[in-house]
Amino acid sequence: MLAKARIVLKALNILNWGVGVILIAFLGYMGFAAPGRLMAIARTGHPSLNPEAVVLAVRGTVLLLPVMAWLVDRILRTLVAIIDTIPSGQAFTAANAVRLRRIAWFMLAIYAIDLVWGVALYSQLGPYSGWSFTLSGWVASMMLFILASVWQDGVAMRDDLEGTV
Amino acid sequence: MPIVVHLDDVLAARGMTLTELAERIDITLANLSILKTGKAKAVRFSTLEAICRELDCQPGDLLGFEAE
Repeated sequence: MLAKARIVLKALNILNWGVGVILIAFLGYMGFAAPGRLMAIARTGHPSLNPEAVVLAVRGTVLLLPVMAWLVDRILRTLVAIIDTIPSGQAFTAANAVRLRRIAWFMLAIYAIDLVWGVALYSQLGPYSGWSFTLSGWVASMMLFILASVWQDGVAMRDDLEGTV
Repeated sequence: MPIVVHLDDVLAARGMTLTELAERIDITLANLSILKTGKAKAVRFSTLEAICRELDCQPGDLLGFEAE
């Protein structure tokens, strides 16, 4: 089970970077190399939209994509690092509590960027931005912070128990 | 730690080895060694009770306090 989860996480990270690179290449081309073409598509497809706002939205997204891909990369790598400690019986350690808290911060960063950029996009493009507010990520990161604290307490309790005769 | 364990002395006075005590009170020799060498962070009442019963002593005979 753990070995499979490890493989899935590694594959997801490859997918994360693969999709990231493809999107950056495609949107980067449209936003920076061919903005005229992008504006033409916007004018024909959605005449109500401001074509310049579409170009700015695409450019901003291109700049944010590497940051998002890096944050996802950090989350997946940290999860793999936690999984790697399980077979040796070293999962319940302070180091893993720190890793869990780090994942919570990365997740919080992802959803903070999503919120700020999403609101900015929505204000310019409305429903065409494709963005909608979601609470699940915020709840998940809060849950991870709580779990990290519980984990930390558990580690302290285990340390105490180890010295109990 | 200012708490000192006198298990060695009590064992010597009773002519009993640590291994023997471990077998009698059903606690691993490793755990009993941790207690004997003063490396334990805490002692369960049940452990103390078993040791006192087998060595016919009081908890105060096993533990002492020495200010640092």
